[in-house]
Amino acid sequence: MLPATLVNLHEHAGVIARTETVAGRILLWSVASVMLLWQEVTPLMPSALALVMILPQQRRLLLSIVAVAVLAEKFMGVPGMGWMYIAVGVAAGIVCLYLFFRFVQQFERWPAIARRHPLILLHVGIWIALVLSTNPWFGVLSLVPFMAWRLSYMVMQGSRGKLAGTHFRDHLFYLIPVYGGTGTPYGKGMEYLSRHEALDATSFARSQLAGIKLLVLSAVWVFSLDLLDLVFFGVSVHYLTMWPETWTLGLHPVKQVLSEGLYAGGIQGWALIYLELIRATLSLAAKGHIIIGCLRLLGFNVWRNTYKPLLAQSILEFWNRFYYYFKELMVDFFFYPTYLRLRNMSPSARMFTAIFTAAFLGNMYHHILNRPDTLTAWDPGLFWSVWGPRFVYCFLLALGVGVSMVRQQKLRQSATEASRLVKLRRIAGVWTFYGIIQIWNIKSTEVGIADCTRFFLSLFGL
Amino acid sequence: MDQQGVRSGLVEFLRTVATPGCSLDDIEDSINLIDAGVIDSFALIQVIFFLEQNHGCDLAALGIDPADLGSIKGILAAIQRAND
Repeated sequence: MLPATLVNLHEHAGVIARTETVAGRILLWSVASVMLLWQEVTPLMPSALALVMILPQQRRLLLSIVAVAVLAEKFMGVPGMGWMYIAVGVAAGIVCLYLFFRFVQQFERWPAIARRHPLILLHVGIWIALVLSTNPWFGVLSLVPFMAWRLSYMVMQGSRGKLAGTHFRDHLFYLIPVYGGTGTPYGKGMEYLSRHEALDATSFARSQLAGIKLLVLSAVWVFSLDLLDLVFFGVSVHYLTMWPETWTLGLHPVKQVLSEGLYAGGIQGWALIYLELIRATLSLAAKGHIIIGCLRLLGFNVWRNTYKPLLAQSILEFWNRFYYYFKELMVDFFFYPTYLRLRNMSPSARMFTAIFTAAFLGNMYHHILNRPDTLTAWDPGLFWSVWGPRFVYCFLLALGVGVSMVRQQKLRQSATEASRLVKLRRIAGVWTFYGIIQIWNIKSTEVGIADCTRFFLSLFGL
Repeated sequence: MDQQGVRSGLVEFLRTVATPGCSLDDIEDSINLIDAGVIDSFALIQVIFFLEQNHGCDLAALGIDPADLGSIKGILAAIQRAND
């Protein structure tokens, strides 16, 4: 075990004090930059970090300026795009976002029906934009899925009257984040980021040390993942090329088992689903730690995206710890609104309905939003081949989370401390549940519901 | 019930939904309980249910967002609004 001082370096008063010195800041920036570049983060991130460390009071403005460069960087990735198109695209993108911000800021002046359902209105607009994005003239709109939930958080904040007094620079930096991300907004929107923003030198140093800790942890998980892939699957990866070829168990990953029909069954089958769960967890943790690590380095000491989910003792707890910002997204935009509208239902039915709206409907909607081509192609065959297994996954997830939530309430009321054996049994149960439903969450168009179900049945020798 | 009594009842309830090992003793009223790790967003649902059952709060009707219930101060303000 690592000494507690090392693990909690970001809480050590002496280390924090040294980080606040000029030499400490230069050292921290150097270490962070090396680690970020090793993790293949955009080269703009070390630059942004340097700027924020020099002028932390201007953090949001500086990050918004860098956001323009990040947008340009995204356009540069599009093949055959000349600098003139990039400049026009960037300018058009920033102007659109500014106009959108001004529009949301004047929420009180919206028509009554729009004020009642602002998020539905936004998402109707998003889908119109997605349909238009298939036209090359509106190619810039292909960035909409990435921004959809970030814009949603802005609209939510606007509808609560909390955009008053804020400027465009307070929002641009999370709409086009230099700290990276996916369609899921890590760090949510401005309201959440503001609550976690370091406003003095000591909080900033603490936040940055916590960021470094996450980058180190990410490197450990990347290495562990590579080792796991090599030992169990014989998959050669970049960091462990010297590994002897015979030192592997030669198992097939679940994705390969499903697509090639190599049903293992019995103990090997069960081992595969647990391994797949560990791989998914390590992979998500490694990626999320980099993004949250960057946010912390920039002075936003937000919660981790993944926090020890494999030690969760309930399905609900695992869902909370596995992919925190995705869960928050589902809760903020689907769970709470549904729950609050259903006051006349019985408590259990109300809870289950809200859970299904979040973990099933919201979950599916989010994923389809990130692959709009599967819907805008108007091809039911394609749609079903891509999303069929995920429908089963989301249904089982919602069922599990709903049952777990009701059970958790009862356990909280009893408030008795469980023995170590009981805790282990609970953890094993959580692993088994998520290991099994993960079968329907393998991302491959070659795998259908029938393949997943066959593999599931093979676990029981059927 | 007076303000102090309402607060005591609320804190007593929060103890039942708090994360095991987290104490509410040193928590200031303005601290965000979710950010502090004292409760999670699902425990907030139980807070909402508590407000509905014990104080007749209809959050949707009052236009209160769940995010405003993150602190003891925010919850007390919601109760106050329901009573007004």
